[in-house]
Amino acid sequence: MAAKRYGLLIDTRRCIGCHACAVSCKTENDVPPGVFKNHVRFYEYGTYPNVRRRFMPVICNHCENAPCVTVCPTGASHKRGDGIVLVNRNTCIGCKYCMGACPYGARYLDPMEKVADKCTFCVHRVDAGITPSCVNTCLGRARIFGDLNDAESEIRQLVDSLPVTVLKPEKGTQPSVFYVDAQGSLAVGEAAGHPSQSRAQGENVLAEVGLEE
Amino acid sequence: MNLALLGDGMKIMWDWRLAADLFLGGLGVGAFMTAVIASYFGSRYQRVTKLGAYIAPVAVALGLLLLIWELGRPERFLGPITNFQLSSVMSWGSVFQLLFVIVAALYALQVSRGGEESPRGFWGILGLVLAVLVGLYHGMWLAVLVARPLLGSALIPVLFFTTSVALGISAILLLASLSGEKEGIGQVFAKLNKVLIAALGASAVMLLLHLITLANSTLEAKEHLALLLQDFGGLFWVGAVFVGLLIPLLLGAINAYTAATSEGETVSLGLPVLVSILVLVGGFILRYVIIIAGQSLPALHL
Repeated sequence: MAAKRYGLLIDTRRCIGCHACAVSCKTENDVPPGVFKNHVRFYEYGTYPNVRRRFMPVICNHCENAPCVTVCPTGASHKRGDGIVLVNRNTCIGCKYCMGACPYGARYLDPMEKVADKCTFCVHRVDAGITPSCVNTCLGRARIFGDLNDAESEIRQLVDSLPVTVLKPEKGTQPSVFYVDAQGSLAVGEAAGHPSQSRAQGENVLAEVGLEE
Repeated sequence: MNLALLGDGMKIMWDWRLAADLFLGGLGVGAFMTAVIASYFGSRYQRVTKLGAYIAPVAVALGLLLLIWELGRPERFLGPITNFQLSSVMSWGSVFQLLFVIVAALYALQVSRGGEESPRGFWGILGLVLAVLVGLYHGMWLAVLVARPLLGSALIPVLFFTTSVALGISAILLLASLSGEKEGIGQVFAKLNKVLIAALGASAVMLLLHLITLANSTLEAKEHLALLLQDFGGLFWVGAVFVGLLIPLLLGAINAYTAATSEGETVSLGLPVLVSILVLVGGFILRYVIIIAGQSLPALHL
């Protein structure tokens, strides 16, 4: 049997924006204030009264070809055999080079310990045979976790049967996190964006994440 | 917390300390290259060699101290060397920089012992090779960041290298004109001025090519370009382009013209001093805006 390759499928159609995944991640992993390993972005679009809000959960993509691992000068950022990308807190020097290399803004500098940190796919839970906290807690069942190399797994079958995408495929990172209908979440409609949205969010969102053009 | 937020979703990871390291590091290796090469042009350039040799280890080491201060865990600064990673540009760069500081210090010691022949030889050549590697490393550190279009370009190492040469020459010119002893300085300045013009010209061309490439690239690249040219437009155009490149180029050309037309050794030092200061100020601003604007992900950093 091939080695495991853990992945996550996020079905944005099923996400109701309750942020329970973000909260459970915070408690499960003791994530310090001000930073997130997992959070839900939301996008508003349309013109009153025809407006919509869609949700976009984002975490570390645990890329096959992870730029954060390549640039890390100490080997603190590393990739396990099962595809999970981790940071060794004992050897990280806090240079933030990995944060600069990540196209997804998935990493942060731990404000307490001053080392790089990010989503671990709840490796302590996965190693114990249970799903990551965000997956466990998602009440819309928008998150499916499993072994992408296992043909029988739910995630493999869904990834094969649904029109899935990854974020910024043009970066060549080969993420292990797949999305269903990320276009829908990121679509901004014909009207200008919400006033609180910036230039990029208002206009070029689809192309920005490599889903259009 | 080191994560300052700049507008919507723009994380600033590296602050002025990284810019200052790349500035001082570039200045140091530029001065070193100038020093070693000048030592092969006769005793007239002895002062250039001396100044360059003294500036180099001090500037690069000072830059490294700033960089270490910028680390989340400064006490682990030797990690890139003790846990050397083949794939990491930064690991390689850390080794080059450490070796360079040591070799440059030895070279400075050798030069200080005097003698016209002393600067030529093993330490100078080894240091020159290391200076080139470190000079290229500064830009390479940024160029491998595929996530950041403003930085992730092969033009960046070249741009940083050519500006480093300009910075090194300017530092030497400035110190040489401030210290006494004006005897025979005219010809030396004229020669350095020519190299400075070439370095500034090459830098301006590299920068222009980089901007044109970005303007014709992906939307993400255009977002970054807009950030640089609009949000940081004042610093970029006034500081980096005019003060750092175009005005010194113009003044350098005037300088070269007057040096060529005026006979003898009496040369006004006002212009070289002004050009040096402009290049140094603009060179820092160029590094600063590129790093600050370049590390910002577009507002939607997915």
